[in-house]
Amino acid sequence: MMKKKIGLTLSTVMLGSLLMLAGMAYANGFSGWPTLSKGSSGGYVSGLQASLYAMGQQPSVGAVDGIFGTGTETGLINFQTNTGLVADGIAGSDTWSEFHDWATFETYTLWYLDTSYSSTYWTSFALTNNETKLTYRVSYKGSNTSVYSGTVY
Amino acid sequence: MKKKIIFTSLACALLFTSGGLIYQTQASKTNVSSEVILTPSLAASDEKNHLNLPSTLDTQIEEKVMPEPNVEQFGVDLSDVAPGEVLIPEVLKITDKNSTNFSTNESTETSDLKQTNLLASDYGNGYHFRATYESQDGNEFTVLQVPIEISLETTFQGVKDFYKEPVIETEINGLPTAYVDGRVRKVVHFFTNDRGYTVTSLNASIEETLNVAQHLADQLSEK
Repeated sequence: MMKKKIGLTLSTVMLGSLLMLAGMAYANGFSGWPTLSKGSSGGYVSGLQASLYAMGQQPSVGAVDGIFGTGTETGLINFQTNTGLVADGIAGSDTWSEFHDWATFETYTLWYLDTSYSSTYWTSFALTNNETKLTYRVSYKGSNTSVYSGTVY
Repeated sequence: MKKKIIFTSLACALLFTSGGLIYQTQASKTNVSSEVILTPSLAASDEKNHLNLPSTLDTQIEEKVMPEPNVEQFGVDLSDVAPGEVLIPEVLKITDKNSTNFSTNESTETSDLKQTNLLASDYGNGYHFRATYESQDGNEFTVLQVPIEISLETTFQGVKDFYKEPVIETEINGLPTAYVDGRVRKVVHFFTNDRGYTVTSLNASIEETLNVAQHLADQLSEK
């Protein structure tokens, strides 16, 4: 009887975990992105920089290089100011939520940012590798040529 | 006197040459082309969104960065796309705002939305088309035609899960439709069995965006 109960509990936990993993597989925008600030680096920073390009912040951000330096901080502060957020230069839940408000679903694994803040760039995000890998892509608005692409995670 | 003239000329030439070299070095370091684009006035374009836009940011200058050499390109030349693949029309319709039947879309009083751009991409699962249209009163609409990657049901659920705002489910011409009356962008998605269509706008109302989606569905059903 006890063994059955343990087995049932384990099965429930495993099924729940599987469902959670499956639930994360679709395009879910900026949900769950980590807090980033000056000194951060890596794929999520590249994703932030790519997003700031779509918000007209290319002049401040400079290259999409995954390094959260002064340029990225300035671009982020400009974005936060423009959108009425607390302009602290820290990409936290409010900032990701604001980005999400601008995002549009394209397909089950693809979403994008295309705003009036930039006349030059739009940015898309795609889940690949059985939805385990998220990539970003910065493209020209007029010609569909991509200028930057890389991995968020 | 001659010496002075020669010296001044040489100094000027040296100054211009070194200035040019410094500029060239900086330009190659930052990897940007000489094309400079002024962004449109943010205050003007986002007036309807009631965002806090300081006037000092109205003159942000964007530079057109050169593509990194290792970036994989998914853009497709439209001349390589078989006729009949692009189903979204070159001219879209919108019911005139002053028409009494605006919401029901029954009025014949319509205006044309001129297509201002059409792009195609292929990510390996079929063509994605992205077109922009402009109305006579300056509203811009982006229209997507994309393949359905998984099942229609899963995709529709994906739409509902994606947005933080309430997603309203409805039908356009019997097709499953979901729309979002977001704070900054209005989006309408509707689906046939094998394709998804999206109409989105940053400066039109949700009623106008739905109206354009309705006309798009009408035009698609005529094909």
